[in-house]
Amino acid sequence: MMGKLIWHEWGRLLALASGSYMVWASFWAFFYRKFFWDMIGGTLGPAGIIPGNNTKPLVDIVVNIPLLQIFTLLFSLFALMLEWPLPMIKGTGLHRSFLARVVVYFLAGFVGIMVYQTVDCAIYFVITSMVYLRAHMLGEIMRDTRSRNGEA
Amino acid sequence: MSVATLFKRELTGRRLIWNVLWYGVHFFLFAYGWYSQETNTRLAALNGLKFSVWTSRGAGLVLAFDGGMILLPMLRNIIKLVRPKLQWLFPADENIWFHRQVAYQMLFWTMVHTTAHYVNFINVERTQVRKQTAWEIHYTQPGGLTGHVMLLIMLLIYTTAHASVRQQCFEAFWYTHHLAFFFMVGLYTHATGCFVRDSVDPDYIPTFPFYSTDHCLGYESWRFTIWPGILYFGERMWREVRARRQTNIVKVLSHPSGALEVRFVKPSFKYKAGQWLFLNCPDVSKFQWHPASSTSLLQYPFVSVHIRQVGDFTKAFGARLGAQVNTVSGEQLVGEKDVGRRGDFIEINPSSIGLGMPTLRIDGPYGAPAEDVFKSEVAVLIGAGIGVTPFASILKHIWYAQKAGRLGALRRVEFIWSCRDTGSFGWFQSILEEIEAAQTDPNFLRISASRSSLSRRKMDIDAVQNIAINDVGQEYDPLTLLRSRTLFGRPDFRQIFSSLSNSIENGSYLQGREASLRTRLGVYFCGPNNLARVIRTEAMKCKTPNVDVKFVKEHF
Repeated sequence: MMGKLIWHEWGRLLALASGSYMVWASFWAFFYRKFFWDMIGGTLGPAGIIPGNNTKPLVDIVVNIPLLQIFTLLFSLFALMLEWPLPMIKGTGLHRSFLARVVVYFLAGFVGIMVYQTVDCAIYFVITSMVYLRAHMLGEIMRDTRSRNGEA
Repeated sequence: MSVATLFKRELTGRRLIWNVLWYGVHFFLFAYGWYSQETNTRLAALNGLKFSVWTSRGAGLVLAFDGGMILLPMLRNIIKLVRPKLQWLFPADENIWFHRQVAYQMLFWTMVHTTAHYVNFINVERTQVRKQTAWEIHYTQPGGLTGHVMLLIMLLIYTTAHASVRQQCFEAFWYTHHLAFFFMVGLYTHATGCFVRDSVDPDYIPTFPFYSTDHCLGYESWRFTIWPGILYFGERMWREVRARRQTNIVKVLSHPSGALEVRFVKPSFKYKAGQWLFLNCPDVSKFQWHPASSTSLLQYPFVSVHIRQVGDFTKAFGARLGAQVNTVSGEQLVGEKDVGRRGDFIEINPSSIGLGMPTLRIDGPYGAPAEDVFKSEVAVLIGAGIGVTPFASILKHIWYAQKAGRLGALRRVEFIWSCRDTGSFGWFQSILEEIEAAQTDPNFLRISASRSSLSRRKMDIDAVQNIAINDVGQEYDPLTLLRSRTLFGRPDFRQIFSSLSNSIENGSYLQGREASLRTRLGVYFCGPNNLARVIRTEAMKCKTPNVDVKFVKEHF
């Protein structure tokens, strides 16, 4: 490789893409509620999959109370606020931390993979999380805030 | 740019025509796709899904169109063939811009299409119009599977194509963009699962395309969209073969300030002045191709390119050739006794570093030949920053034509050179010096150089005063070493063009020319986009019944 890819800058673009996707998908997930993995232990009835008892609690927090959708919506909105970033977040320890992103985006992926509409963007978030992990391991530093807080 | 000026720009002139046509085609296709699905009685069962299926089918047709368009602007060799005939119809040099416009549309309609399908499939499961579950359609059937793969590829391609990533790591962009191969395969096979059908089960057949069109009622769009794909694939193969034809580096010259001149001989390479090429050096990077404009002329027994060693590739390429930056110290700015020439080049022997002469691959030529210049009476050439490079060969070409008495309609040339740091273009100055020295008609070529910013970082106040003192009574400008004087500050294009059009109008500019004849003024610019807009606006103000103005933005 010749060019030097700045991983966290690419990670930011990935996070913005994953986040926008998840905001949009979460919106639809409130209207068409489905726990993605309901086929495990479920049977096909005349009105779709009848979930088995093993997935009942998880089906409940997607279909009866849209709890996981609320989580995916919050995670994705948080990602957008962190990456754009909002003026009050810019330059804070949170904004500069790649490890925080690795954790948050992995969690977004973990929750997102359970909701029918957010499966794809959940995978994107996991990819984003790995890209930020790589940035962290390479010892990259957030550029635009460094001069303000560090060298100045 | 404010919203008001943005609207004004998008809704006037050529932009307006483009916007109406472009969005018109997209919305028409969406509406037609919607209508053809909704009114198709054979698809009554699917139409039970209502809005979501009408939307997905409408957007699907739009995406088929965009999928067919996305590769068209990348057919570089075919564009080069058709451009002389079709130049009036579309700006052939804006191919990357068009490629991006298709990509933006693709992204939007993909969102519409995918969203609609998420509703479709959950409703197929709920209504059991087919004995299937949503996850099966998504992840086990060809339509869903290729769709999800295409989405992931789009995520990777779009994010790495962002200007910031492209600039810091061209390979990340370049390699990722080749996922387009799998994307296109996904696009062509997206409908092979026969989702749009009037039968209970997909009607598969043992012969190509493995589903029967009696019951599979998709658009069959792959029959059309595959052709640009085949053409593009063919072009890439042809380019590989052509680039590998015998190419020998004959000379490497290191110019001041890190400019590298590579002279090579490639008998199969036929080009014209003003065209550019892609250059590849497998020793440095196997797959990286760099654009460079040719700075030599057909009359020369070799082809030459000048490369500034600024990026990582160009630096590594220079190192491989044995030319490190600052091999020749070029910064003899002011106060030098000898103002005859700026630090001469030295010849480098790449074999001296023990690796032998590297293999060079050349893909091209591309772009418009400079011949166009001879069609107008007055040519205004404007180069900003690194944008001066294509003018090296164009100016040389004009010079040769002048010597041979084949100037065509061309009567006068104005060359405006604007850059931050004249010092880094030493090689270019020597070309200008040659041309300027050879001028017999003082009015034919006028060169004006200007330094667009006098930043303290680049040049201290002593240097400025030095220039001011040295400048007086000197035959050569202390900065460029040309007879023409350097101006400071960004050139005032409004003033330049208004005085130009005035002097053309009152006949003092082109003496002896019938005032009743229409004068053609050609403005050729190479440099940043925002400056291009300013210059275009100012140049177009020269348009009168007597003066015809043409603006061309050079690419390389």
